[in-house]
Amino acid sequence: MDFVLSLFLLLVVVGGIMGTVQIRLETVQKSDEAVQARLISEKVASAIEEVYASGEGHEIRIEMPGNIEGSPYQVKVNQSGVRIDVGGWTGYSYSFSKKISDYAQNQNEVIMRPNTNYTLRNVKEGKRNIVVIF
Amino acid sequence: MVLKKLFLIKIPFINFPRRIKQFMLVNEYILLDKKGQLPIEFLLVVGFSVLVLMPMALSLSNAGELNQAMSAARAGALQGATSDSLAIYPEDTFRAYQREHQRLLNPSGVKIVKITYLNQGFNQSYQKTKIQLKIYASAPSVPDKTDRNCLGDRINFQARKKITESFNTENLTNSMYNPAFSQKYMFTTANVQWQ
Repeated sequence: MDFVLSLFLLLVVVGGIMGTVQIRLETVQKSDEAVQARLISEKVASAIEEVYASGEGHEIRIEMPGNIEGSPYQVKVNQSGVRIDVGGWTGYSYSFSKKISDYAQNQNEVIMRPNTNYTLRNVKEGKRNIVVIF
Repeated sequence: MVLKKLFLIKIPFINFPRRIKQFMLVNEYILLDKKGQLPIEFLLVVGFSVLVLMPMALSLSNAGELNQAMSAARAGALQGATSDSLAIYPEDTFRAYQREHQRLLNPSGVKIVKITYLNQGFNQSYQKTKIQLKIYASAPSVPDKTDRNCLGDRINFQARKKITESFNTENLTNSMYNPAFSQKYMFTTANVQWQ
Protein backbone atom coordinates (compact mmCIF):
# COMPACT_ATOMS: atom_id res chain seq x y z
CA MET A 1 0.00 0.00 0.00
CA ASP A 2 2.85 2.38 0.93
CA PHE A 3 4.65 1.41 -2.23
CA VAL A 4 1.62 2.08 -4.42
CA LEU A 5 0.95 5.42 -2.71
CA SER A 6 4.60 6.48 -3.03
CA LEU A 7 4.66 5.47 -6.67
CA PHE A 8 1.48 7.45 -7.33
CA LEU A 9 2.87 10.57 -5.65
CA LEU A 10 6.19 10.16 -7.48
CA LEU A 11 4.39 9.90 -10.82
CA VAL A 12 2.33 13.03 -10.06
CA VAL A 13 5.45 15.01 -9.12
CA VAL A 14 7.55 13.74 -12.05
CA GLY A 15 4.68 14.39 -14.49
CA GLY A 16 4.40 17.99 -13.28
CA ILE A 17 8.13 18.56 -13.47
CA MET A 18 8.44 17.05 -16.95
CA GLY A 19 5.66 19.31 -18.26
CA THR A 20 7.38 22.39 -16.85
CA VAL A 21 10.77 21.29 -18.18
CA GLN A 22 9.39 20.76 -21.68
CA ILE A 23 7.78 24.22 -21.73
CA ARG A 24 11.00 25.82 -20.50
CA LEU A 25 13.12 23.99 -23.08
CA GLU A 26 10.89 25.22 -25.91
CA THR A 27 11.17 28.77 -24.56
CA VAL A 28 14.95 28.48 -24.36
CA GLN A 29 15.14 27.21 -27.94
CA LYS A 30 12.97 30.07 -29.25
CA SER A 31 14.98 32.61 -27.27
CA ASP A 32 18.23 31.15 -28.59
CA GLU A 33 16.90 31.43 -32.15
CA ALA A 34 15.99 35.10 -31.60
CA VAL A 35 19.38 35.85 -30.04
CA GLN A 36 21.25 34.21 -32.94
CA ALA A 37 19.16 36.14 -35.47
CA ARG A 38 19.82 39.44 -33.69
CA LEU A 39 23.54 38.66 -33.48
CA ILE A 40 23.81 37.97 -37.21
CA SER A 41 21.96 41.13 -38.25
CA GLU A 42 24.00 43.26 -35.81
CA LYS A 43 27.22 41.65 -37.02
CA VAL A 44 26.46 42.48 -40.67
CA ALA A 45 25.26 46.01 -39.85
CA SER A 46 28.34 46.65 -37.74
CA ALA A 47 30.67 45.33 -40.49
CA ILE A 48 29.00 47.61 -43.06
CA GLU A 49 29.45 50.62 -40.76
CA GLU A 50 33.09 49.77 -40.18
CA VAL A 51 33.84 49.28 -43.88
CA TYR A 52 32.14 52.54 -44.79
CA ALA A 53 33.87 54.49 -42.03
CA SER A 54 37.34 53.12 -42.77
CA GLY A 55 37.62 54.59 -46.25
CA GLU A 56 38.34 53.38 -49.76
CA GLY A 57 39.75 49.88 -50.12
CA HIS A 58 38.88 48.69 -46.63
CA GLU A 59 37.23 45.29 -46.61
CA ILE A 60 35.84 42.75 -44.14
CA ARG A 61 35.04 39.10 -44.74
CA ILE A 62 31.91 37.64 -43.17
CA GLU A 63 31.05 33.97 -42.91
CA MET A 64 27.31 33.37 -42.77
CA PRO A 65 26.26 30.35 -40.64
CA GLY A 66 24.37 27.48 -42.32
CA ASN A 67 21.25 27.85 -40.19
CA ILE A 68 19.89 29.32 -36.97
CA GLU A 69 19.09 26.54 -34.49
CA GLY A 70 18.27 24.28 -37.45
CA SER A 71 16.01 26.83 -39.19
CA PRO A 72 16.84 28.42 -42.55
CA TYR A 73 17.15 32.19 -42.61
CA GLN A 74 17.64 35.09 -45.01
CA VAL A 75 19.47 38.38 -44.63
CA LYS A 76 18.60 41.40 -46.77
CA VAL A 77 20.81 44.48 -46.74
CA ASN A 78 19.61 47.84 -48.03
CA GLN A 79 20.67 51.45 -47.65
CA SER A 80 19.23 51.93 -44.18
CA GLY A 81 19.95 48.63 -42.45
CA VAL A 82 19.95 44.85 -42.29
CA ARG A 83 16.79 42.75 -42.15
CA ILE A 84 16.81 39.12 -41.03
CA ASP A 85 13.97 36.60 -41.44
CA VAL A 86 13.94 33.26 -39.62
CA GLY A 87 11.04 30.90 -38.99
CA GLY A 88 8.36 33.57 -39.55
CA TRP A 89 10.16 36.06 -37.26
CA THR A 90 11.81 39.26 -38.45
CA GLY A 91 14.40 41.60 -37.00
CA TYR A 92 16.05 44.75 -38.25
CA SER A 93 19.35 46.44 -37.45
CA TYR A 94 19.59 50.08 -38.49
CA SER A 95 22.78 51.51 -39.94
CA PHE A 96 23.69 54.96 -41.17
CA SER A 97 22.13 55.55 -44.61
CA LYS A 98 24.61 54.72 -47.35
CA LYS A 99 24.68 53.16 -50.76
CA ILE A 100 24.93 49.38 -50.77
CA SER A 101 25.60 47.50 -53.94
CA ASP A 102 26.37 44.09 -55.35
CA TYR A 103 29.24 43.77 -57.84
CA ALA A 104 27.31 41.44 -60.13
CA GLN A 105 23.94 43.15 -60.38
CA ASN A 106 24.57 46.65 -59.03
CA GLN A 107 21.38 46.48 -57.01
CA ASN A 108 20.37 48.53 -53.99
CA GLU A 109 19.24 45.55 -51.94
CA VAL A 110 21.65 42.68 -51.45
CA ILE A 111 20.53 39.25 -50.23
CA MET A 112 23.07 37.36 -48.13
CA ARG A 113 22.52 33.61 -48.12
CA PRO A 114 23.35 31.07 -45.40
CA ASN A 115 26.56 29.05 -45.49
CA THR A 116 28.30 31.55 -47.79
CA ASN A 117 31.33 33.76 -47.34
CA TYR A 118 30.93 37.43 -48.24
CA THR A 119 33.36 40.28 -48.63
CA LEU A 120 32.28 43.82 -47.82
CA ARG A 121 34.48 46.43 -49.54
CA ASN A 122 34.55 50.20 -49.57
CA VAL A 123 34.68 51.33 -53.21
CA LYS A 124 34.92 54.84 -54.64
CA GLU A 125 32.06 55.70 -57.01
CA GLY A 126 32.47 59.15 -58.49
CA LYS A 127 32.73 61.57 -55.60
CA ARG A 128 31.30 59.28 -52.95
CA ASN A 129 32.05 55.92 -51.43
CA ILE A 130 29.77 52.91 -51.54
CA VAL A 131 29.82 49.55 -49.75
CA VAL A 132 29.95 46.62 -52.11
CA ILE A 133 28.97 43.12 -50.93
CA PHE A 134 30.11 40.15 -52.96
CA MET B 1 5.45 -14.07 -3.14
CA VAL B 2 6.28 -10.40 -2.78
CA LEU B 3 2.62 -9.50 -2.44
CA LYS B 4 2.20 -12.20 0.14
CA LYS B 5 4.99 -10.63 2.18
CA LEU B 6 3.41 -7.22 1.88
CA PHE B 7 0.20 -8.31 3.51
CA LEU B 8 1.88 -10.29 6.25
CA ILE B 9 0.96 -8.72 9.58
CA LYS B 10 1.81 -9.23 13.18
CA ILE B 11 -1.46 -9.81 15.06
CA PRO B 12 -1.48 -7.55 18.13
CA PHE B 13 -3.77 -9.57 20.43
CA ILE B 14 -2.35 -11.35 23.44
CA ASN B 15 -4.63 -14.39 23.84
CA PHE B 16 -3.94 -16.31 20.69
CA PRO B 17 -5.16 -19.82 20.31
CA ARG B 18 -2.10 -22.00 19.85
CA ARG B 19 -3.14 -23.14 16.45
CA ILE B 20 -3.00 -19.53 15.18
CA LYS B 21 0.47 -18.45 14.24
CA GLN B 22 1.45 -15.00 15.41
CA PHE B 23 2.46 -14.06 11.86
CA MET B 24 -0.06 -14.74 9.15
CA LEU B 25 -1.74 -13.21 6.16
CA VAL B 26 -4.48 -10.64 6.78
CA ASN B 27 -7.10 -12.66 4.93
CA GLU B 28 -6.10 -15.80 6.89
CA TYR B 29 -6.65 -13.92 10.13
CA ILE B 30 -9.99 -12.53 8.98
CA LEU B 31 -11.16 -16.04 8.24
CA LEU B 32 -10.12 -17.25 11.69
CA ASP B 33 -11.38 -14.26 13.62
CA LYS B 34 -14.70 -14.99 15.28
CA LYS B 35 -15.32 -11.66 17.01
CA GLY B 36 -15.64 -9.63 13.82
CA GLN B 37 -13.27 -7.03 15.27
CA LEU B 38 -10.87 -6.64 12.37
CA PRO B 39 -13.40 -6.30 9.57
CA ILE B 40 -15.06 -3.38 11.35
CA GLU B 41 -11.73 -1.68 12.03
CA PHE B 42 -10.60 -2.40 8.53
CA LEU B 43 -13.80 -0.96 7.06
CA LEU B 44 -13.52 2.10 9.27
CA VAL B 45 -9.94 2.72 8.13
CA VAL B 46 -10.80 2.17 4.48
CA GLY B 47 -13.90 4.36 4.71
CA PHE B 48 -12.00 7.13 6.44
CA SER B 49 -9.17 6.89 3.89
CA VAL B 50 -11.63 7.22 1.02
CA LEU B 51 -13.28 10.21 2.69
CA VAL B 52 -9.93 11.93 3.13
CA LEU B 53 -8.27 10.88 -0.11
CA MET B 54 -11.09 11.85 -2.48
CA PRO B 55 -11.18 15.59 -1.63
CA MET B 56 -7.39 15.57 -1.32
CA ALA B 57 -6.98 14.10 -4.81
CA LEU B 58 -9.43 16.67 -6.21
CA SER B 59 -7.64 19.51 -4.47
CA LEU B 60 -4.24 18.23 -5.60
CA SER B 61 -5.46 17.94 -9.18
CA ASN B 62 -6.78 21.54 -9.16
CA ALA B 63 -3.60 22.87 -7.56
CA GLY B 64 -1.47 20.94 -10.06
CA GLU B 65 -3.44 22.31 -12.99
CA LEU B 66 -3.13 25.89 -11.74
CA ASN B 67 0.55 25.36 -11.07
CA GLN B 68 1.09 24.07 -14.61
CA ALA B 69 -0.82 27.04 -16.03
CA MET B 70 1.21 29.55 -14.01
CA SER B 71 4.43 27.87 -15.07
CA ALA B 72 3.35 28.04 -18.73
CA ALA B 73 2.31 31.70 -18.29
CA ARG B 74 5.73 32.51 -16.83
CA ALA B 75 7.51 30.77 -19.72
CA GLY B 76 5.30 32.60 -22.24
CA ALA B 77 5.83 35.98 -20.58
CA LEU B 78 9.59 35.41 -20.65
CA GLN B 79 9.42 34.53 -24.32
CA GLY B 80 7.42 37.68 -25.04
CA ALA B 81 9.90 39.76 -23.07
CA THR B 82 12.80 38.18 -24.98
CA SER B 83 11.11 38.95 -28.28
CA ASP B 84 10.53 42.56 -27.15
CA SER B 85 14.08 42.89 -25.84
CA LEU B 86 15.71 41.62 -29.04
CA ALA B 87 13.16 43.34 -31.31
CA ILE B 88 12.51 40.12 -33.21
CA TYR B 89 8.83 40.02 -34.14
CA PRO B 90 6.43 38.01 -36.29
CA GLU B 91 6.44 39.35 -39.84
CA ASP B 92 3.04 41.10 -39.79
CA THR B 93 3.83 42.78 -36.47
CA PHE B 94 7.19 43.87 -37.85
CA ARG B 95 5.48 45.53 -40.83
CA ALA B 96 3.01 47.29 -38.50
CA TYR B 97 5.85 48.60 -36.33
CA GLN B 98 7.71 49.84 -39.42
CA ARG B 99 4.72 52.09 -40.08
CA GLU B 100 3.83 53.26 -36.56
CA HIS B 101 6.29 52.26 -33.84
CA GLN B 102 9.76 52.47 -35.35
CA ARG B 103 11.35 52.77 -31.90
CA LEU B 104 10.32 49.17 -31.24
CA LEU B 105 12.47 47.90 -34.12
CA ASN B 106 15.49 48.65 -31.94
CA PRO B 107 16.29 46.36 -29.00
CA SER B 108 14.97 47.45 -25.62
CA GLY B 109 15.62 45.88 -22.23
CA VAL B 110 12.36 44.34 -21.02
CA LYS B 111 12.26 42.38 -17.76
CA ILE B 112 9.45 40.39 -16.16
CA VAL B 113 9.24 41.42 -12.50
CA LYS B 114 6.47 39.10 -11.26
CA ILE B 115 3.23 37.42 -12.25
CA THR B 116 0.18 37.30 -10.01
CA TYR B 117 -3.30 35.85 -10.47
CA LEU B 118 -6.77 36.70 -9.27
CA ASN B 119 -9.51 34.11 -8.95
CA GLN B 120 -12.64 35.79 -10.34
CA GLY B 121 -15.02 32.96 -9.48
CA PHE B 122 -16.93 30.43 -11.54
CA ASN B 123 -17.94 31.58 -15.00
CA GLN B 124 -21.38 30.25 -15.91
CA SER B 125 -21.06 30.68 -19.68
CA TYR B 126 -17.80 28.72 -19.94
CA GLN B 127 -18.48 26.46 -16.92
CA LYS B 128 -14.94 27.06 -15.71
CA THR B 129 -13.26 29.02 -12.93
CA LYS B 130 -12.02 32.35 -14.29
CA ILE B 131 -8.46 33.38 -13.46
CA GLN B 132 -7.05 36.79 -14.38
CA LEU B 133 -3.28 36.98 -14.73
CA LYS B 134 -1.44 40.19 -14.06
CA ILE B 135 2.12 40.54 -15.29
CA TYR B 136 4.47 43.16 -13.87
CA ALA B 137 7.37 44.21 -16.12
CA SER B 138 9.94 46.94 -16.51
CA ALA B 139 11.32 48.63 -19.63
CA PRO B 140 13.30 51.74 -18.62
CA SER B 141 14.47 52.38 -22.19
CA VAL B 142 10.90 52.64 -23.55
CA PRO B 143 9.23 55.69 -21.99
CA ASP B 144 6.42 56.07 -24.53
CA LYS B 145 3.07 54.72 -23.28
CA THR B 146 1.78 53.43 -26.62
CA ASP B 147 5.08 51.67 -27.29
CA ARG B 148 4.85 50.06 -23.85
CA ASN B 149 1.32 48.93 -24.60
CA CYS B 150 2.60 47.17 -27.72
CA LEU B 151 5.33 45.44 -25.71
CA GLY B 152 2.82 44.47 -23.01
CA ASP B 153 0.36 43.07 -25.54
CA ARG B 154 3.08 40.73 -26.86
CA ILE B 155 3.96 39.55 -23.35
CA ASN B 156 0.30 38.84 -22.56
CA PHE B 157 -0.25 37.15 -25.93
CA GLN B 158 2.70 34.80 -25.44
CA ALA B 159 1.59 33.99 -21.87
CA ARG B 160 -1.92 33.03 -23.07
CA LYS B 161 -0.48 31.13 -26.03
CA LYS B 162 1.81 29.05 -23.82
CA ILE B 163 -1.07 28.17 -21.48
CA THR B 164 -3.17 27.07 -24.46
CA GLU B 165 -0.33 24.99 -25.90
CA SER B 166 0.41 23.50 -22.51
CA PHE B 167 -3.14 22.12 -22.21
CA ASN B 168 -3.67 21.44 -25.95
CA THR B 169 -6.81 23.59 -26.03
CA GLU B 170 -6.14 25.42 -29.31
CA ASN B 171 -9.51 24.22 -30.65
CA LEU B 172 -11.41 25.96 -27.81
CA THR B 173 -9.97 29.45 -28.11
CA ASN B 174 -9.59 32.16 -30.78
CA SER B 175 -6.59 33.38 -32.77
CA MET B 176 -5.53 35.71 -29.93
CA TYR B 177 -5.74 32.83 -27.40
CA ASN B 178 -8.09 35.02 -25.38
CA PRO B 179 -9.28 33.51 -23.11
CA ALA B 180 -6.90 30.59 -22.72
CA PHE B 181 -8.35 27.36 -21.35
CA SER B 182 -7.28 24.44 -19.23
CA GLN B 183 -9.57 21.61 -18.13
CA LYS B 184 -11.04 23.48 -15.15
CA TYR B 185 -9.90 27.06 -15.61
CA MET B 186 -10.11 29.89 -18.14
CA PHE B 187 -7.38 32.52 -18.16
CA THR B 188 -7.49 36.16 -19.16
CA THR B 189 -4.76 38.78 -18.84
CA ALA B 190 -4.92 42.28 -17.39
CA ASN B 191 -2.83 45.06 -18.98
CA VAL B 192 0.84 44.67 -18.13
CA GLN B 193 1.79 46.79 -15.14
CA TRP B 194 5.00 48.71 -15.93
CA GLN B 195 7.34 49.47 -13.06
